[in-house]
Amino acid sequence: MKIEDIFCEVMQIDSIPENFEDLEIGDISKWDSLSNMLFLMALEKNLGIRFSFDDMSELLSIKAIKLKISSLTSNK
Amino acid sequence: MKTLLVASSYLPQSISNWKNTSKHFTKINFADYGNLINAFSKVEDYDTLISIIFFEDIYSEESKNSTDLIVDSLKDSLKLNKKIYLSISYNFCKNLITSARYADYDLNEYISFKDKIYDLAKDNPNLFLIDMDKRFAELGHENIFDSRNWYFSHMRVSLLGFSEIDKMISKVIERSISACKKVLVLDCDNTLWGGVIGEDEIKGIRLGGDGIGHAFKDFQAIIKNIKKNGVLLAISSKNEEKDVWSVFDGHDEMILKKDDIVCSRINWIEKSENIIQIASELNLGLDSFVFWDDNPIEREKVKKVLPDVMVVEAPPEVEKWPKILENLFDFSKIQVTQEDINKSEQYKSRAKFNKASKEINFDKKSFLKKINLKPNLTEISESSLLRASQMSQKTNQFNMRTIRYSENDLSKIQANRNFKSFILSVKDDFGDHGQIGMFILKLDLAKKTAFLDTFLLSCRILGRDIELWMMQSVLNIVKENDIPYLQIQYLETERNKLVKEFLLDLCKDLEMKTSKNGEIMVKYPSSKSVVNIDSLYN
Repeated sequence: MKIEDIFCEVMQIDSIPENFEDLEIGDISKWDSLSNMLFLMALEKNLGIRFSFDDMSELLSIKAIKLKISSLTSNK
Repeated sequence: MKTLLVASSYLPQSISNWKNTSKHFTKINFADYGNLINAFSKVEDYDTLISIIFFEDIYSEESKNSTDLIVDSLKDSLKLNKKIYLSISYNFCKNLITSARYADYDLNEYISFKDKIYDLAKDNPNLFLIDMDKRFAELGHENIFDSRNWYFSHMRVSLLGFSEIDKMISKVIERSISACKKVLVLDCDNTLWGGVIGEDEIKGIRLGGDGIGHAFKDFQAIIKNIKKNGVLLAISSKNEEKDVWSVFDGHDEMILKKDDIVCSRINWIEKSENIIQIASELNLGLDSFVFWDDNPIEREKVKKVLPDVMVVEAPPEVEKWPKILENLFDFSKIQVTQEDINKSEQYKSRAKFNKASKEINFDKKSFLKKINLKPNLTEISESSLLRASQMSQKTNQFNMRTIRYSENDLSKIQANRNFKSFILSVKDDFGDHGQIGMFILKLDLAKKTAFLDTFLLSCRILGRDIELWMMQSVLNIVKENDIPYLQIQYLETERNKLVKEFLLDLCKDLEMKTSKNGEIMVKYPSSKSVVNIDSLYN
């Protein structure tokens, strides 16, 4: 499953927002701190990674999340 | 069941995590978490309430009576008669790393809370308890509880923990809205014991002792327990009736006794027909029936003909059965009344009466046409020699002469032009039954005689008139060779009464020679038709 699809599923939206790469928390109404946590947990499950406590509070934009994922997956 | 209020001691309020449960409702609202008592008071405005309680959220040493307050307000909201689904759990493993004394203390409080909730569930049929502790223990507390999530946002569980809660609640909802299951219909061979009693005999079946026989015994123990909880037990199996009861009466490791069985149909007809008869005898709807059979083909058939019956998809691994069966009836009823226990007796006497007074009219002809049965005969060849000799060696019950042939013997027979040897395979809508019968015909074209040397079928195929079809196929060969009679010889053994009944019925208006040793000889005219082979299945 792609990050975009996981995002849509957790946020309960039908299509990927146009400016997806630039999105930050709060840019769409359904992306709040709670859904952010659920999004990060869904990413963990789908990608087989684990975010740290600090990651959970710092990963608040698609850019930051993708960067973190690539560093976590390249270390594997 | 349309509107739902979710009240949790703490869980994220997002529909995306309620995939299974949300299917049952048109509208879902989430109460402010943490304030359960307030949420319980709002149940009036909804059809259903789901409450998820993590014990450590509602309990603290400082305010010990807080749990009692919650129990009391739950009691009040139950009076409104709305369905309430309550999930409870406690991460008691975390206490392993705190002081032992503290752990014991906490755990005792939890146990006493749980007791109160269980008592409530006993008295209130509208309270459905989902005890997550068992499931969480199965999956491992380390996988279910997540301390990072807890410190980050006060959510105690992992995504897996959450999705398990969702799944379990959804399952209990499904159970609670479907008909209450009252009857468990069981197969015998390879279900109550390992092996086939008609072939392996009582010494040969696997039941009790070490190994897989132990799993069958454990399975029976669960069945017995379910019966104690008021579920009726019935048997539908393809056997000789006396064989089955000989196991019930004579096998030391049998946990189930003949007395436990309210109603039985032990015969060679279709199980769907038997289940209809059992339902009528007990005067219960088919939607209250659960059917358990190890054979996927039997299951498919019952499913297809009787869609109301719950057919359990038992996996091939017997060791998994006890737990599957236990879970199946887990939620059906918490409270067992004396009436439930007596019920079994009442049903038994009624069943006796009904059996005598009526038989159900089951349209076998249309059933046979519906299942698209395709029998196929092929001459025994190199590739089927092994299977043919296996059948010749193993088949006891539907075997006309029980002459055992090795592969080598059959190879000679097949090469001899005076013999016609055929193997039968059968397919129908329920699957490929494989090679399940054979016959050997000995022809003497000069003397114009035909002798039925071998005629056998596997018992699991009986009930479809395939034996008539095969006999007609034999007669057709005899006729094609201008031979007026087929000589049929029946040799009696301890186990082949079944085929004798078939022969007696087949030849009821012919002259039969019976000897003292049980041997029967018949000259069957090749012009006399057994069955219309073309219209039987089409």
